[in-house]
Amino acid sequence: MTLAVEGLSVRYGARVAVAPTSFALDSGELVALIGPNGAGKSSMLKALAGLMPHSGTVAWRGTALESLDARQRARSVAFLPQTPVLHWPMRVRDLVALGRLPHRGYGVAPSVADDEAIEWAMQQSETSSYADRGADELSVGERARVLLARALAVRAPVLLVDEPIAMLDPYHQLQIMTVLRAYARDALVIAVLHDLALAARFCSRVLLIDGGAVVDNGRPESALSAAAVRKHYRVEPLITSHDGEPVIVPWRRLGSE
Amino acid sequence: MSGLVLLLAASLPSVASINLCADQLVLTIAAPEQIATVSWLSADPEESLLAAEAARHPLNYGSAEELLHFDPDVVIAGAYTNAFTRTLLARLGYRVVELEPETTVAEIEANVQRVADAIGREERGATIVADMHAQLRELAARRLELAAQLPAGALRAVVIEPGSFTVGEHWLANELMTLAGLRNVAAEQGLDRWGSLSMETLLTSAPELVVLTGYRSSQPSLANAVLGHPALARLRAQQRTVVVPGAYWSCGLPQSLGAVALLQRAAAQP
Amino acid sequence: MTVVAAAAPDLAAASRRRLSAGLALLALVSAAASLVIGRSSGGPTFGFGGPELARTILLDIRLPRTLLALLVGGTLGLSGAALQGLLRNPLAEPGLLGASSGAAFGAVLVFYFGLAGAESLVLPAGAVLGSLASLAVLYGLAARRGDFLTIVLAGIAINAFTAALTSLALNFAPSPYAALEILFWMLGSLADRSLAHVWLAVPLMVPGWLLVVAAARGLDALTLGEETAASLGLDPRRTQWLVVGGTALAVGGAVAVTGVVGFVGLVVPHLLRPWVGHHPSRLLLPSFLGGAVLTAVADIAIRLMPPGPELKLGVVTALLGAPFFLQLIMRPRPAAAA
Repeated sequence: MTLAVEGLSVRYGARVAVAPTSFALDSGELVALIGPNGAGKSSMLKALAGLMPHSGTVAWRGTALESLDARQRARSVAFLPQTPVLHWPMRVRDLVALGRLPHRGYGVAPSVADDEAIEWAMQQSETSSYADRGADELSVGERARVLLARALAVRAPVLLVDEPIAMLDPYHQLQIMTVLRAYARDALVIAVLHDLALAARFCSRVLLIDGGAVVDNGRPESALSAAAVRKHYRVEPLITSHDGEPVIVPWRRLGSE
Repeated sequence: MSGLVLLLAASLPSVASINLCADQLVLTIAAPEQIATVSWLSADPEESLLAAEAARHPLNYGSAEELLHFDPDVVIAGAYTNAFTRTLLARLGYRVVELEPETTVAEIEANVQRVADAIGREERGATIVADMHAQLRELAARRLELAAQLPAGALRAVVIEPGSFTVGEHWLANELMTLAGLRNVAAEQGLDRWGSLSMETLLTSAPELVVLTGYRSSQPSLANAVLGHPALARLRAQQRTVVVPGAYWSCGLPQSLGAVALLQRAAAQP
Repeated sequence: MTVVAAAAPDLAAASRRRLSAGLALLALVSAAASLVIGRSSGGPTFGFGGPELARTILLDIRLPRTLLALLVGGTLGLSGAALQGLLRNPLAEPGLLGASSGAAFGAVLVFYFGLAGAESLVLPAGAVLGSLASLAVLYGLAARRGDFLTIVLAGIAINAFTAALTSLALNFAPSPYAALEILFWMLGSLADRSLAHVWLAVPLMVPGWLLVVAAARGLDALTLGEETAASLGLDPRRTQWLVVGGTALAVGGAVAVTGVVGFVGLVVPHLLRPWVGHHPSRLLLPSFLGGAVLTAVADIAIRLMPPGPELKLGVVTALLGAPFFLQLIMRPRPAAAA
């Protein structure tokens, strides 16, 4: 099952945030959408999610997402925004249950499938023990996992996450990446990431964006080569391996001592 | 004889009044036995010239449910009485007579006749109007006397109501002043019905007679506080002042002509 | 991330049904009391007077008043809950949009031009036009941007403008008695309304309620912010206009008949929110019922006062609601998380 992108482009007035680009991604992959600040990663992700006006088409399994109604699209593509937003201190279970809204008709009681999806999402994100707690009683890490659980509960075949680990400590960063990788076994997950090390370790594919254009699309070893990192991040990386997994650490800024 | 009176009274429609001005007309025109109720405002001496008479009758607060208990044959209201109450009373099947506020003596006479006709006291109404005409003739004669006494022409007068309001051309108080032989300074400056009176305008117009109403003067209010302005105090010290209780002309009544006499007496003073 | 209020007892679904059932029962009890308690020159009365009067008093006077208290109170509670859900702020109120003050201005204008003469139903008709005009202006001001802050600012501007226009109309009122009349009308009252007023308000209130209730899921989704709501297939713009349109219609219809009654839409959803687990959609029905109860009880309280002119409903709800509102503002809010 494929996400086929044709001529996707995002403009803000005269400024081109994402130049027309085409690529295809398959289910079963955790794809890192990486690049320097201002490269257009978030814009591209939101365009894929249908949250931003764009030109070009995005098709999932041959059907253009733009042609689907809002509910159908919501069932196909789940989105987790960068800034965690939570306006009311609902019970955790009720929050996760919001992920089932695209599947539930108006005024219809939750189905067995809904309850199962909610339980499963909480298990995956290791939040089952907080199910009855109020959202305001959670720590930052717990809240991040609950919001992720909400996105998982949609059980959409495409999951788009925008910088899911930016504000988390290393323990929770590894935890979230593990959850995303597990979800990606049966789905396509695209995650905007800044952390090169985690991107290289957990992701099966890397889309490198710079200046609004996709400059590379491949496995981490090739897309995140030393040359690529030097060119696009302007840092000298330390590249090694540990336990058979790649380790990439930005070491020194280029053009400085 | 009293039996005959009672018999006559029994055939008169019972009347309820839910408006201050209507109350006072009813109290003046109706036979006491036929008055079912008048509004609570008419029992307040600050508001009403007939407070003592009003207090002898049951008082109402103007709601439809109350009037149901009084079960009158006719309801007298003002044209601006609560619209919801008036409509509901009509829906409940009551005959509601609505009186427009009076701005001239002729309108007072017309309302007197309307009320009298509505409550079966046509003769009484005619008598009252005749008395008013007689009084007007007396006042006219007095006016001529005054004019003779004042070589400089009619006195310039101004009405200062609480809140620094005054009266203009087409307003009852103005007509009463004219009947008293006074010139209303505000009307001459173009004020139509009623409006604000600035202290400056007051002083530059140099009135010779200051007319106050004394309305609720013992009760604290911003409107009355305004009347304590030093410029006004100075004016009062220099010019003739008269207090005409507001109840004389806030409603148009036959008794309103009493204000003319008060004004004329004040104008006659040196 | 901002968390605006502390979570409190959340009830499971069965308990929530009991909450709504309990509120409905309270509403019935209040309605019964409202039918039985009256007011005469001597103060409160109980019962319907003599047998000849009973039918008239009950059907023509008490019944419309009771129905309006429940319907208007329910409208205010429902739209308060919807607005608080839409704006994600527990301080939102139906008057916020300017629909209430627009309706009041419409009524004042009709009064000033003498169109609401003997037939007082013309007065509410003017109020309805006023609230719809406010909505049209709101739409024109905020439609292009459409974000919530713009809507709030537009509502504030409309409120200020209609207040000024109302003042202006009062200035030109032909009779000083008229000015006093209008003021009392704007303080809100249920006195001496008839079934005709119920039939005037209902065709506006019911569609308004339906529009608001249609936005229920969208309000839930907005808990997570506009982007997530959109990604869940619940377009925040659509939710916004359902709530704005629905509340303007329903509140306009209500204000058209009773005048401006404040604070019910603020107090009721706020009190009930913890009992429904802060779930915006689950707050709608309880807020409707709670608003109905609060308004009916306030109106009964007015009738129980010692003899004298009847107090205005808006005054009573403001006396109850304004101190509540103040303590809401002054209560320390939980610190916003990074």
